Amino acid sequence: MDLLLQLLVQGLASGALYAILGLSFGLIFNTTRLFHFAHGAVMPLGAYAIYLAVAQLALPLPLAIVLAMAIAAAAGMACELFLYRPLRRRGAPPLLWFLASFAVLVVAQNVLLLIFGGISLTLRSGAAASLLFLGLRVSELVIWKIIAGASATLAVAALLYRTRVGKELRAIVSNPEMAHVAGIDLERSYLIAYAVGSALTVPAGAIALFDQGVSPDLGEMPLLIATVAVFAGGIGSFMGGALGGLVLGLVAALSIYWTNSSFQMTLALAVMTAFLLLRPSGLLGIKMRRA
Amino acid sequence: MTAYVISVLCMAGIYAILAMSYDLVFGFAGMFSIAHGAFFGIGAYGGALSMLGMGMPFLPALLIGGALAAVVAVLVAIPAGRLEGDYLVVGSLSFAVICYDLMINLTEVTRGPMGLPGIPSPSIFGVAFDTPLMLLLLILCILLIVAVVSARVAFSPYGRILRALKDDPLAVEASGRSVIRHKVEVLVLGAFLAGVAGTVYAAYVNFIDPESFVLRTSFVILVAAVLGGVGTLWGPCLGALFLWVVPEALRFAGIPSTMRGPLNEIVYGCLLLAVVFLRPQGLVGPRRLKSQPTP
Repeated sequence: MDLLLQLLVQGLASGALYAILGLSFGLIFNTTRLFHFAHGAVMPLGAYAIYLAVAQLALPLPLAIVLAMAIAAAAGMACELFLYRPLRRRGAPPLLWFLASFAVLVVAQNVLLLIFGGISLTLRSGAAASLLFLGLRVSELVIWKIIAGASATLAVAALLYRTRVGKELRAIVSNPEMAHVAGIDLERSYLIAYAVGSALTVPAGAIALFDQGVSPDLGEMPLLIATVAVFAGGIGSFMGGALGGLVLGLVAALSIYWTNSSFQMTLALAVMTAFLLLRPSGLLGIKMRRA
Repeated sequence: MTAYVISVLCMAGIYAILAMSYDLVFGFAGMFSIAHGAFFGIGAYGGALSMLGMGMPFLPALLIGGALAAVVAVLVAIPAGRLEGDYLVVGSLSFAVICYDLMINLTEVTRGPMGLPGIPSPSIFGVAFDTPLMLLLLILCILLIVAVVSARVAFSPYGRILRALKDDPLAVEASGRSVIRHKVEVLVLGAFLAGVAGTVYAAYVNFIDPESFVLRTSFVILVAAVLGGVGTLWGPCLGALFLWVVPEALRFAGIPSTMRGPLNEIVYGCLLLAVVFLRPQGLVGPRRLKSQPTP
């Protein structure tokens, strides 16, 4: 029973982290309907920015995080401005977007590899402090993950449901043509989606800096997790990405109850992919749109 | 020096088999799967384990490697045949990662990250293919057979159905053909050929570990196919040759060996970007990819 509770808390924490990833990828994917592989390079970029700011420039962590968010947002917007927008204007088929995005991911990862090397860098000094939570002794990271996940979810929800920008984004998801006719500037909204979505990777990157460390391929697994979370949560629903991520984290943690820990991610991905096959519209999918 | 040139050509040959089989799946049937590297790995492990564990000779091992990949392909293709577009990308992505995880973690079978050493070099009917030149010859022969098989499939009435799967699945259904059945068939054929390439690779390098079958592998295959020109079969072969020969030039440009790996990949990425922006139909592709109105 104690073990189950422990796993539940762990799952909640990693689920909160995956929810951030799902939200960030979902903002971009649902709005632009473009498979933004290069997103997997934005997360390590932000994490390296925090690392440099803290370790080299001796900036306080919160300031470093804000700085990194700006850098990540700029990187995401650069992808839209210099890559996807020209391709979209030429009327290139989606396949070419995939390829271009994939290419940028590989190039960016290897540039980071050349600059920082393959060894993971970390800001952690010694073991993470542990404290009592719901009567369980858990690491400090667990609390941070839950706080980050909850605040990211609330922030995105506020953006979507309390601001004009959010309303426009939701309009684009439900019907891009109508949104355009109604006078919404699609390209401007796309740019905003890239900026916000990319900036959202930074909290996840910051947690990684204190957890397993940051290396150039840091974004690969999170990218996969994020896509599975978004698809399982339901395409067309921004919050579905958060829910999908949470469920994925819980499934992964609880699977340790039955199998050993090296299989947990494999099992979780298999479960979520199988779910996707059975119910392509996902947990919250409003309707299925043809890809 | 000659041995070195031959080794580059051998790897190019193996990747040509991969790129050509991927062309059937992607170029003809239009299924954008990024799991081809995983089938390559399944074939490599299947072939290698049958040679190491059961003492199989090379030719049966080749078939076992291909068959194992094909069986796995059947199992995943039947549910996944319904997927298309973005869903297929996600499905194949997570399939590739799951395969990699299993190769790493099923240590009783695959020895995990330690890999499988001591895989015997190919030998057919007592003829040992153990010199570089003989190996190249063998790889080229297999490439030729694969090319003939692929061409027979692709440039036949059946191949026209495959093309129709990409261009107009609705018309395929309307003329009484099952879209899903044809998708499954071509995916299985592609996986079989990739599995054969895997066994050839295992026997060629004598050692395999999961690191050879990561997502990058699928990426290199994809780049080879797109660079050469999808839907032409020989374009992807040319693309594979190009991909293996061009980065080797870096070796002679006085770049330190530690930087060569990342630089290779940067070259791949830039080549792909150049193709996307400058020549979407690839080096030898005859027709321009059809432009679609953006949603």
